[in-house]
Formats: sequence, C-alpha cells, structure tokens
Amino acid sequence: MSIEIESAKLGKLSVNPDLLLTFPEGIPGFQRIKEYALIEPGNDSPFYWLQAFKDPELAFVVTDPLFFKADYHPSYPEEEIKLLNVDDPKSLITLVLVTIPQGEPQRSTANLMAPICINPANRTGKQVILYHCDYSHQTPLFLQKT
Amino acid sequence: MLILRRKAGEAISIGDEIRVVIIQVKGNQVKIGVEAPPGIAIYRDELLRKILAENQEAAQALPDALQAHTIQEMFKGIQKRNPGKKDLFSRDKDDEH
Repeated sequence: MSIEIESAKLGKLSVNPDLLLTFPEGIPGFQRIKEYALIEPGNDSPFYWLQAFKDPELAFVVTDPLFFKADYHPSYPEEEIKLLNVDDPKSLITLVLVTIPQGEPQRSTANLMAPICINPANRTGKQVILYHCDYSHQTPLFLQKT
Repeated sequence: MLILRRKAGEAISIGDEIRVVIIQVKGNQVKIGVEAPPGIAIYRDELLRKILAENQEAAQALPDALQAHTIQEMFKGIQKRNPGKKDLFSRDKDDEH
C-alpha cells in the first residue's frame, strides 16, 4: 500500500507509508510541520528529498554526509536525542540538509552543524544542533577547483 | 519586552516549568542556568538564528538543481570516492520490490 503526496517541486508522489517520518519538534523555522516523507530521486543520486507530508510547498534536499565527508561521526548530546527514544545512538540514521544556490550548484553546501537524525525503529526525526562541535552549517559539498 | 532586575543567586520563572537562574555576574558577562522540561530546546540565540536562516535557504532548492549537468558530474566524482550507496531503510526497500 502506498499513499499519495502532493509536492509543488516533485509533483504527485506515491510513497510507502513506512517511509513517513515524524519530527515531533518540527524543523527550526518550520516548527508546525511535523510529518515528512523521504523521497528517493530514483536515479543513482546520493540525494534525497525530505518532503513535507501535508505542505506541498516545503521540501528539502538531504544527503548522507558520509558521501562527501567520510569522517563525519559526530557525537550527539544526550538531551538533544532524548526525543528520538533511541537505545543505541549508533543505530540513528544521519542526513544533512543541502543548500543549493540557484544557478551555482558547484557552490552547494551542507549543514553539518545541524544534522537530521532519524531513529529508524520508530521513524522519528529531529534536527540536532551540535552546539559543542566545530562543524560548519555551510560546509562546501564539492572540492573547489583551484 | 519585560525587563527585570536580578542579582546573582536570584531567578525568574517562565510558566510552571521553566526557571532561569542568574548564577554569576562578572564584568560584562552573566552566567545563566536554565531549568526546563525535556522537549524544550535551549540554544544560544546566535546559533539558532544561523540554523533558522540556513534552513530557510535550504528550503529554496529547486528540483532542477539536482538535474543540472554540473551537479550530476560532481556526484560521479563523489561516488568514485565513496562507492557503495548505503540503503537507509533497507527493510522497506525489500517490501517495495
């Protein structure tokens, strides 16, 4: 069984309900929106869309940070992930939001300071702010050619 | 804005469950303790502002951006370095196919 989602950016989508995620606190700036679906673009792209379930206009591009930063293994402050009810923090899925400047995709950045953490067991997610780390909220995705 | 005068050791309460304690005042710095129930996010303001602004930017991404020639070429470079795409929700994918 799949459910239909309306997306302003991606059109009508048919989603496995198991891929619906709940963000009990929302995402900063979009706090009232609690439900999202993780959409795979279909090709071999390492990028996903995080599409708001009931808000067609809102969709983020997310990626697995390990694709471009193999040593990204931040430790999460305990109180930050309490909400996710996770037994073992290692089982959390970590994604990062990607900002793609219009017309200049080579200058895309990822927000390593505030990764999206998902507990796959209960499909609960949260944008965790790593206030104790030095990761940048604008980490370049691609090596700049010199 | 409500403005209150407090000394070190004194506190203010916000609602029933949030308490802000002035721990120390030294020169132009104030040390503050915040007691709040779980689920209330407490951050340095400038940090949260940064994340809010970046999230607004990230939400502007257009589907075309992922189709653009440059970004596809760049993916290939990334994939060469990190082969083997990880299945995020592998259990579900089995159901789908």
